[in-house]
Amino acid sequence: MFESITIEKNKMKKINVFAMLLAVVALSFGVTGCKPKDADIKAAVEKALTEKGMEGMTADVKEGVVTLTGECKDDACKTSCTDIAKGVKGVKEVVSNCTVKPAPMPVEKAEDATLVKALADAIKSYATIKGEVKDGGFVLSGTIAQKDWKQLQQVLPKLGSTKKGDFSGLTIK
Amino acid sequence: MSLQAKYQELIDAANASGASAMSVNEENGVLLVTAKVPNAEVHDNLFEIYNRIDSNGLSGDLIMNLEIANEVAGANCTVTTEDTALNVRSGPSTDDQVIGMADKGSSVTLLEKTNEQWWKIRTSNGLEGYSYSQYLTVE
Repeated sequence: MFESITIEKNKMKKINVFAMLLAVVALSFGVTGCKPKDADIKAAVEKALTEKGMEGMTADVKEGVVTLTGECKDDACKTSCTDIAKGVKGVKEVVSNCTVKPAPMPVEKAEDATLVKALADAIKSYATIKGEVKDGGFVLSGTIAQKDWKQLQQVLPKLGSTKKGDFSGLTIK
Repeated sequence: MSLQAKYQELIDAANASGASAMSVNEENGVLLVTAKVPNAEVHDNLFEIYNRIDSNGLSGDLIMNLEIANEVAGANCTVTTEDTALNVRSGPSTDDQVIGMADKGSSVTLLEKTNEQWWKIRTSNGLEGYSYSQYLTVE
């Protein structure tokens, strides 16, 4: 009876030792083998970003910490890049050094700017009228003497607008 | 009614008075007419017709750009101010200094059509400068 217990004990000892050895081996594998290498993480992150349409981003990886560099078109894109990187296996942390492109200034079309100046010069001598350019056409309002309107009417076609004029706000005295 | 139909009388009058290089295009609710006309008289007459067809031209549906053929460098012009003499300036703008005057009814030589509103002229005294084209009529 006691021999069997002793045998069992010995067996347990052996199993325990074996289990411990296994654990150590497993642990050591875990530290060096199963975890992706930094170079692999870099490649995976950059691939994931490109696949999602974020071009020109670089990922620098050190021990699983990813630093992203590149230009994002807006803040939403910047957040998105960080999230994508975080989702890659082996990534511990993401630091974003991404810059956001400033929003383009609304540009007045070149033709409109020329027309605005031309119109302003043309109506300069008629103090009681106002003019503006809308969709390439002249909009005039205010009051103007008949003889002045006669002159202005002949100058307007030469200013370069090819769109219908809006003179509904104009009163001819 | 198409715009061309609306302004047919005007187009016919232009042709009848010797307009050349005429183009008539209707697009986006506006009729674009360009032509070269022989002199200021024809030019004014066409505008009168325009104003009759389209009461004071307030519809904005015609853009008529007429070039006056005889308004070229070297042409003689008469000063057609209402009463006063015409200012001759050092540059093509009312911001430029007045350097002399040209009497009403006097003859000046057109040197250059600097822009639609300002012409460079030489008076009979030899004074060269810029005057408002509205008050100059090619003879």
